[in-house]
Amino acid sequence: MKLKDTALIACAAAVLGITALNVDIKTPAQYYALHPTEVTEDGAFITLKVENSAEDDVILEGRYALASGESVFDVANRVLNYEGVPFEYKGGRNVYVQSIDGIDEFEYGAQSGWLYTVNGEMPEVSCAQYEPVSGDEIVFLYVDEFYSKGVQG
Amino acid sequence: MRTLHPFSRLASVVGVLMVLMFCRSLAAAGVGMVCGLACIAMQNGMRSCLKALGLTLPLCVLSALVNPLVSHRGMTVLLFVNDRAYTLEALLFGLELGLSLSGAALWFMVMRAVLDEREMLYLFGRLSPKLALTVSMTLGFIPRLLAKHRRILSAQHGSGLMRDNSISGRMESASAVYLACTSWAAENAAAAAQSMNARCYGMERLTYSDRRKLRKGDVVFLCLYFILVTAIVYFALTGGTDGYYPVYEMSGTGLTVSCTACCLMPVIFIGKERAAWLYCTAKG
Repeated sequence: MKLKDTALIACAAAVLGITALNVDIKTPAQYYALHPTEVTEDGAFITLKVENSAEDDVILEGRYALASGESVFDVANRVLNYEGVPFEYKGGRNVYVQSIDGIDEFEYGAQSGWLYTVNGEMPEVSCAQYEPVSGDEIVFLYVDEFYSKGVQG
Repeated sequence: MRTLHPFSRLASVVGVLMVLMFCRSLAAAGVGMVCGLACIAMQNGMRSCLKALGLTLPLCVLSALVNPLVSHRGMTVLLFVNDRAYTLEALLFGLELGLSLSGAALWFMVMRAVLDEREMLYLFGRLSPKLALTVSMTLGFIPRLLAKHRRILSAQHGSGLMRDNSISGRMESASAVYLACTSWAAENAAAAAQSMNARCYGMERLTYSDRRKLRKGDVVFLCLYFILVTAIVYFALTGGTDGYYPVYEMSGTGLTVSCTACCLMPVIFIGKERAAWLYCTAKG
């Protein structure tokens, strides 16, 4: 075999090897065992509430474990997946929440959609960039009139 | 399909392509692909069909496996890849995309088999000579290029110009043949353009003399096709297509049945002609 061929094969093997090393596949059971949603005694936690203010309906409410470095989006995505609540979103770093539990944006008019608050205040960054601390109260709120209920002042 | 008018043949293939492109339904895409393969098997032979299957099947598998890595929507989580959900719904959506994409490619192959360049020129020539010329040249280009590729390859083999039988050697000879092919195509196109320019081609409307007419059979065929496509559009618009997110829902039977009928009609026609060719031999 020529040197060129050996180099080609080695390059291909290296690329495949690096890809294989960086891919981490877990079954849902393994994933939830590593990322528990139930609160442990000394672990960090947040309170998550998902509420539809247009219908005065609380979809989900409870205390869930918070892992270090998790954003509001990470924890909400993990909890909603775990609880079996349909959750749809767009984007990577700047996540935009489109629908929770089948309630879509614009379903109750042009100003309706999902927004989130942490301890009663609306952060000015996307939920994928806000890192909550233990004890925070996170609310995902569906509003039908953004300018009257969502933004105060 | 040779007994039908070229316009009916074009309409039948375009109808199937529309179904494949605009109906997001797993069943319709699967039926479209299988029917396309059946048409290719009857028109071009089993070998060509298997070759097409060998190209399209990996595409379907690849798109089904890759889509969940990009899209994390859907409720049925199968795995977590790098802590992102790998869902069944995204897998099915990817499969549907792969099936309709490869189905469309197969039906373009069928279109090439049932309509030749001359008939394309006849269909579009009256509307726009330039469009007709472009379409017919494009349709004719790929088979001509493939034939040239085979000739150059066998000529290189015959004259012992191939490099050694290693990976890099094979890559080098393949790129040499490809280079020869593309330069031949470019030179050929320039020569064809000059010769057509010299003959004032595409400046005036062409005149046609053709004895083909839309017959009763064509009218019935076209009417049936129109009804089927209208039914498909109606079912698709009234929510008959598959819902993928958040949970997969099968499309209604109405859409599946009308899509199957739409894809089966060309298969039946080609099959009938093939059977007539094979079994109705002259006795004596």
